[in-house]
Amino acid sequence: MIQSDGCHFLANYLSANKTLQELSLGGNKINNEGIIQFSRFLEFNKTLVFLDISRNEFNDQGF
Amino acid sequence: MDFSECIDDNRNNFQTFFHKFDANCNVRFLTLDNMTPDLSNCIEALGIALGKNKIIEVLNMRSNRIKIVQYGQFWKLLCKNKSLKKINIQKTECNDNVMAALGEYLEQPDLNLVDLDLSRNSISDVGTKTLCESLARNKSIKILNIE
Repeated sequence: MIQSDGCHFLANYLSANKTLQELSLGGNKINNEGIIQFSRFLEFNKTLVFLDISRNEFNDQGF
Repeated sequence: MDFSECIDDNRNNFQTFFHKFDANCNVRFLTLDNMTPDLSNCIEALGIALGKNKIIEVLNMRSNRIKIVQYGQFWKLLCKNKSLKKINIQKTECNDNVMAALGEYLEQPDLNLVDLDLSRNSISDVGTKTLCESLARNKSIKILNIE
């Protein structure tokens, strides 16, 4: 299961990536800290068009 | 070609069968979901054959129990294959220890793999780090499932 540290690595990867279009991360253990880490990539990535982060552990505070 | 839920438990039969998927085989879609035989015993033969194959595009191996050592060896053998476009290894007990070998496959510069489904496995943050480092060198993956 992917947690906060995994989100950090994914964000770094996605920030520089120009190939990936669809990513499914549903059903992992991404909490508020993780989703904050993960969302850093949004500023840099213009390629991803589908993202599934359903069934994780973050809540309103993470947003 | 779909061999899902096959119940033939004879290891030798599958080793012989998998060897036929080499350069002389024209099969483009191969599905081996939920097999009763332990694929660990014959997956090396599949890796050797697919390493020589230039036609196959889709490989599905969902819901199989594959032991770590044999699984790692499979990915190393698969590095020679450049034709696969879609691989589904959902629920195959792929874990952090297998990710290094999988990563080696994903780093191949001339890979054509577009769609990779790793869902319902045992990949933690450690395996995610390995995966991301390999994907950073990959130029082909467009669809990735790590549910």
